[in-house]
Amino acid sequence: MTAVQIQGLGKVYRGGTRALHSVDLQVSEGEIVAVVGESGCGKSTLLRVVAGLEDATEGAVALFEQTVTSPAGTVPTERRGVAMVFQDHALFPHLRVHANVAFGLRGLPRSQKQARVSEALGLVGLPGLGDRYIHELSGGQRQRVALARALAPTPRIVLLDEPLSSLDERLRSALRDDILRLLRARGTTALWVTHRAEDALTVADRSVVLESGLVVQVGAPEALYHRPVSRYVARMFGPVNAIPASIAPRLGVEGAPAADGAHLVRPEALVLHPDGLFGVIAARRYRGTGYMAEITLDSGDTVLVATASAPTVGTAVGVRCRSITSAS
Amino acid sequence: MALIATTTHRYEIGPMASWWRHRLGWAFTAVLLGIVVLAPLAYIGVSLLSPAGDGWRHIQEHLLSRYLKGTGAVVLLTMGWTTLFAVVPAWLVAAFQFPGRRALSWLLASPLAVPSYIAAIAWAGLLDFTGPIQTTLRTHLGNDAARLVPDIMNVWGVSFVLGSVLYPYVYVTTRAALLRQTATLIEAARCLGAGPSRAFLEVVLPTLRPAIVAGLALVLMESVNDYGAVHYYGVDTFTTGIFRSWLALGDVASAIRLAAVLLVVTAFALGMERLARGRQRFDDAGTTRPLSRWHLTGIRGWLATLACTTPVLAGLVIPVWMLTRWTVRTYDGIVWTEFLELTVRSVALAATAAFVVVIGGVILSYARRVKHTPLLSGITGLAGAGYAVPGAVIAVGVFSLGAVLDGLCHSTGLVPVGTLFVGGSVGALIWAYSVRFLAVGLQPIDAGFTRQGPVLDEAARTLGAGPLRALISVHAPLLRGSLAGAATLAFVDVLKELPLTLILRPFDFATLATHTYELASEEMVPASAPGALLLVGFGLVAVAVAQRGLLSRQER
Repeated sequence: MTAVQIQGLGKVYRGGTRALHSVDLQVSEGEIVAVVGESGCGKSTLLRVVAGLEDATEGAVALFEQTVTSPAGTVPTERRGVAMVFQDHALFPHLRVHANVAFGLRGLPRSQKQARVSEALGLVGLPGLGDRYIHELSGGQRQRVALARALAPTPRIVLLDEPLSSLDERLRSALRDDILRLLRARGTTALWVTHRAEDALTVADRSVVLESGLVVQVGAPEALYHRPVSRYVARMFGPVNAIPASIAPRLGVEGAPAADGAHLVRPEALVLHPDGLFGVIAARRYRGTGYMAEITLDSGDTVLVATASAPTVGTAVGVRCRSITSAS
Repeated sequence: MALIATTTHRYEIGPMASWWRHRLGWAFTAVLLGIVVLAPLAYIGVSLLSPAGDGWRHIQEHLLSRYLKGTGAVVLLTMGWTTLFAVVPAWLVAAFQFPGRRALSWLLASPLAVPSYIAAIAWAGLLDFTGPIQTTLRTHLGNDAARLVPDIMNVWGVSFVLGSVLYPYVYVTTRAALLRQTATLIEAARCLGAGPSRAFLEVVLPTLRPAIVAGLALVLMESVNDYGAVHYYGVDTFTTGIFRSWLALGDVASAIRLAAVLLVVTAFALGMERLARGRQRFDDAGTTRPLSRWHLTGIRGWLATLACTTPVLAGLVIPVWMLTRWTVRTYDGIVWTEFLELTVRSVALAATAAFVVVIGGVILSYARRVKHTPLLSGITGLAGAGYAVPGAVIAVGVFSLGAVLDGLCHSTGLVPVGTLFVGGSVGALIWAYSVRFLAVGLQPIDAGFTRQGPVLDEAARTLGAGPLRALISVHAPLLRGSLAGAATLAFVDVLKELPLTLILRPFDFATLATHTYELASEEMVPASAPGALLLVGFGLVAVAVAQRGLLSRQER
């Protein structure tokens, strides 16, 4: 079943700024889709229109085949049955943790409500913290409470708006794995807005890349990483070489170039090899798993090559393509 | 792993919103409210079209320039005094440690509790021929010494008195800005070698300008509105002119014209303030640290104490001392049943009006939040402008419009002819109070809402709560302080309101404020003191409540 169906969605803010250009997207039930792009690309707007927090200017959104946003009218957010996890938690500061989590459980008998709250808090790894006030929690705990609050009413769709961005690196990955586990276990459909390549690549079944309000590419993480349609998409997911068509054959790059004529090749796809195009190592950076060598080719172009051992700056080397992985 | 999904409570997707559900219900209610509030003022505008009589020609030729000069002088001089009394103490209290700082920080706002006409009466009593100062000087040093006491029954004197009770408006806004200000700025100045005075002049003062100007705007409105003090001191201003035309001469058309001129002048002054504020915005970063205070020791500490004590003496201690002297003298003459009745009536009236103001303020403020439209912002903005309109003007508007409504009621047979349904009733009084003091309630409520980011509403919506439930279970608890503050301020403002009440009250209907002022004007000053003291007492409670909210959040 299609959980989210977005058709021709456009949004112009008061004042004339266009945030979305005729966006089409279909998300199946249980699918986790990352929405990526630079800040200001419209990814948060897209999420907010799906939530009903913003009206659309054109186009329609349907959730589980029921239209919720269209020119004819909208279903108010509170009746959409979507849950949302906000960037800065948006917890209610005057309520204790358990009351925050119970906020969306209106209409349930008290005993069920309590059971549901403690279950939700247990799921996010915070059993026994129900009596705390929000200001007594750490940042990671707060985001876990926000998650419990969103999941407690068992929504069929969860919208996550940069849920990890206020956390430090170590907490990020732990919480990311937890969220993913919970969403998968319940088969919840999710739209996950992030500007971090790592989140999008590890979390999502598919990613949507937005550029200036336009969908530029939709696909599985592997496809987006290795076969980006443009430099913009390629750069979203990591460093990339844009290799001009003039030297592509000599490097052994195959396949069709990206829209602007250059071939997009990841640094890992290039190797130092005597049988390649010659150049000089201009700089190197250590990056934990290996080195990144910056090489000035004899043609005048600069390329990045990932190497396992430390390259010596100033030495002459040859560069060529490892295999046939280039742009589409 | 136990899954929540085992229990069946699924969100269902609801139907499309009707236009009412689509947030328009709130907007509609708010617009309606705005119309009720603005109608009396609009009526004044319409009335201008009716022909002016001879009275207006006479005023134009002989009195208008005098009124203009009087109001102008009072306003400018008062603003000067308030700045002097407010800014330096606010800086001292925020940035230094000296003897009595904590208590003075609180006390400096307390003259707000003293109605201007009461301070005026007390200061006049203190310095007049039979007052304690002249009497003492005469007995000990002779008549010549007593003659050195300045005469304050003029424009200079009334400005000083107004300044000494109105300066807290500037003090409170300035201190709030100082407390909100991040310590980093001043610490940066200190690291660059600036001492306290240079840091104040070059770093702090420029950033305080919007706060000072905002406070001065309130002072301007209050001093334009004042009737009791200027009339008592024999200074002619627009407000006294309106009273004279309306009550003494019965010349409604002239009163309305004077009101209109006054409105234009006030609007111009406030427009200048907006313009000056320009693009400055309060930058309310959540992570501000309070200033760490310099310690002032020895003589410098005591000088700071003195600088902060003087305004409190002028605005609160001296008036209260005079009132207490008179009360002690007239204590045996108080008719308690009468006094109690007066008190209960005034309190009930003020409480009702305060309730109406708070409800109105919440509706206006929240409607704008639920559905932001330019029309709604315009209406809320205008409805909040009632505070800038002098009470006398509002009273004239409500009374005239009330008469029209009464006429309608009579002609449609809703109400028997001869009875007053709207005009000259307690209902009209509450209507007028609401018009005038809606801004008093709206402002803290608006500020309270603004402090709650829109993300809270969004979180509530995604958890299935509509606007009403979000208001009740999220905003209201978080707004508790703001609501209490709004109610208290409105309550006290209504309680001490004089010009509006004098014009609009039903026949034979007295409040503490009108009773006090009438006794004082009829040269029964000591007899007016108990009522005045009670008003000051209520005012102090209000100041305490308002301050507690302010201090607990920003200073500890």
